[in-house]
Amino acid sequence: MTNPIGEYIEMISARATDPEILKKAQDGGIVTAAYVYGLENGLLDGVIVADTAEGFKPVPKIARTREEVLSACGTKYSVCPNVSVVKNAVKEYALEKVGFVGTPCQIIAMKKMMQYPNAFRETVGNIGLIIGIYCMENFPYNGIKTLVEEYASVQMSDVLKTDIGKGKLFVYPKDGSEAVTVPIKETIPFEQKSCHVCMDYTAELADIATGSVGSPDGWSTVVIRNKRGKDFMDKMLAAGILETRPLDMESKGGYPLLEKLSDNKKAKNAKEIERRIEMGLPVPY
Amino acid sequence: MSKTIEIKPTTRHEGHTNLVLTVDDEGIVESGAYHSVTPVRGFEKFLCGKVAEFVPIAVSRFCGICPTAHATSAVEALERACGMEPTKDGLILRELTTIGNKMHSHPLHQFLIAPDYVPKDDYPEVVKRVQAMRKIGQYLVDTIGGEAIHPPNIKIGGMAKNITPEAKEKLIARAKEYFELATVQCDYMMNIFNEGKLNDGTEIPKTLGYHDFPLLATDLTYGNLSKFDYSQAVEYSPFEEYPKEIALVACTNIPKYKGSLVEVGPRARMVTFKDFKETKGALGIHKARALEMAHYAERALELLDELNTSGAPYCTDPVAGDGETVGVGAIEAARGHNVHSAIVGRDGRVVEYNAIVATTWNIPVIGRATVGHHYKFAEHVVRAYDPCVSCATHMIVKDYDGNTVGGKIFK
Repeated sequence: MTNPIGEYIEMISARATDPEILKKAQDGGIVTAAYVYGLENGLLDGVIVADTAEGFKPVPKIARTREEVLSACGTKYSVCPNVSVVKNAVKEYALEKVGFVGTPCQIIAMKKMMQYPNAFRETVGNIGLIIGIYCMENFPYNGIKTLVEEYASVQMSDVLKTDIGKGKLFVYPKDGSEAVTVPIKETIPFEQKSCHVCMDYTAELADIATGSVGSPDGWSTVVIRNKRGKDFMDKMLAAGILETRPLDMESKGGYPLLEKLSDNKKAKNAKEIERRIEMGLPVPY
Repeated sequence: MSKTIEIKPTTRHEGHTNLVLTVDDEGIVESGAYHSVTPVRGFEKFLCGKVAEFVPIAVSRFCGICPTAHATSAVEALERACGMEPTKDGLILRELTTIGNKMHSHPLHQFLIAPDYVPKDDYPEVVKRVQAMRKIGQYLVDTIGGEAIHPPNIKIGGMAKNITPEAKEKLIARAKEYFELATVQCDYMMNIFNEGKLNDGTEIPKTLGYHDFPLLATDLTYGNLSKFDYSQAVEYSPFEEYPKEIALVACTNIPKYKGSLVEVGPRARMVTFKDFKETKGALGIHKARALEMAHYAERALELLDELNTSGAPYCTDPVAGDGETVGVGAIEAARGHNVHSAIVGRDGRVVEYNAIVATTWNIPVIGRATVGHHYKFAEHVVRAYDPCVSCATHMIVKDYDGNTVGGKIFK
């Protein structure tokens, strides 16, 4: 049987050592730390990030400095078309080592693009690192807007950060007041339909996959999947960019949780796929 | 007693052409007919009624070697038909793209003639240099045009995107690198051409490829419509130039400028704008082409220096004509003077479209230029012009059963 979280070389718990990154980033700040390290040490010359436009709307952006990366960090819980700017990064930005971060579906798109580079001849050779983030499901912008504005009663323009964990959606307002929560159950109708046929929870095709599940608060579980990811990670560790601790393989909140969530997503969505096939609806697999 | 020699097909150039020569008892060519047999594709016909924005995308599919030249000629023609003024930076970016295209096309031709001229021992070195140069040329087009082949950024009103300052720095570095490579390559090829020998030791006759037709060029690197009078360009049918049996299969028009056939291309440009002395002969064209490469790099550096990376790349005027004004776009493609003309209606759709492309001008001249020398040199004359035929094809051709080839397109 295949591994529920895909192929990997190594798994660790880690968090950034830079206090500024830790403060601004979602959990352990792995993506931000990797990007900043890559940009400052010539391993990457540009990275694609999900920046926030007016009204907490995510827009893809090509960042080339530490400041640009830091201004965009944090999870957005809404669709951000990062793949759409990959070609721009290589063309008018003339970047040669592009860092890419995305949800599992975007990583699948990137990998497909690299396998069949018909319209991306010059582009695919210039991808330096692909980081995937764990994803159970995502919301379209109007979905998250309804949740935040109607259910949590916070205006989208006043949102500082959103987070999902412990069965709740947390909305942190900009004024620093306490987070407003919405139970996960109530968010289900607002999910993207396409997320219900997705069979990838842990970005199984990325170089490095990361997310909070499986590690204590403030730490991230990092799954290093291939040689490129391993080399990059080794350099980061040697430079002291990350502090690490062994991944908790035993207790309930550790690795078993990651495995359980991945299995749950696959089982649930496999059923949905079957249902759709029965109804004669299109499915991606 | 003269006899006929046919070279079918001619090789090491783009497209399908035949060379039919009548030679005397000693093999000296008495008359030459070089003609295209690439089937007609009907671009000018099917573009009618399409929205003008589609034209640069379509015409760049004329060919994969110089898509930039066609797309640029098209947008120039359409802008004039619509009375639009492209932005300054858009024009700079556009010229850079066309230069990048020539920076790749010229070395490609030297790769094609290398088996004729370059000694076997030097071959790997020359080919590596040629490839390095082509890579830089294509990099320019790729970065500014959005794709190395069929660049999508060339649009009516300018270019779709400007580049970043970092990209500009990279392009400057590459253009400098190109300049050095081009200097080495040019010196190397010029030595060979000055010796006037093929790599098997055969001496090339000094007067090979001589003809008395005038030269036509409007600019060294881009195109200048003020130097070209479109009303003086007339296209005739192949029967004007070829004997009947050849005219029946020939697929190109015969364009004349001010009543005469003209030669276009590197030599025409170098003679008109750079005081190049050799006004005749096949080797003259080779030399002009070799010399041009460095000029392109110099001009690219000038343009990059001038480029404002935060300037508006295109103007936002509406794309609509008056249904009467003929817009003409004249661009110097790698192989010479390339003219597109268009009329755009009030609804922004193409009313009429026509293209007289570089090789169309040259095709009848090539056949004539083979006269007076042994037929074994004829293919070297053809190759000197670097014909690129698929874009030049225009005439309807009938097959052996009398049916029009590709007739569906015209119905």
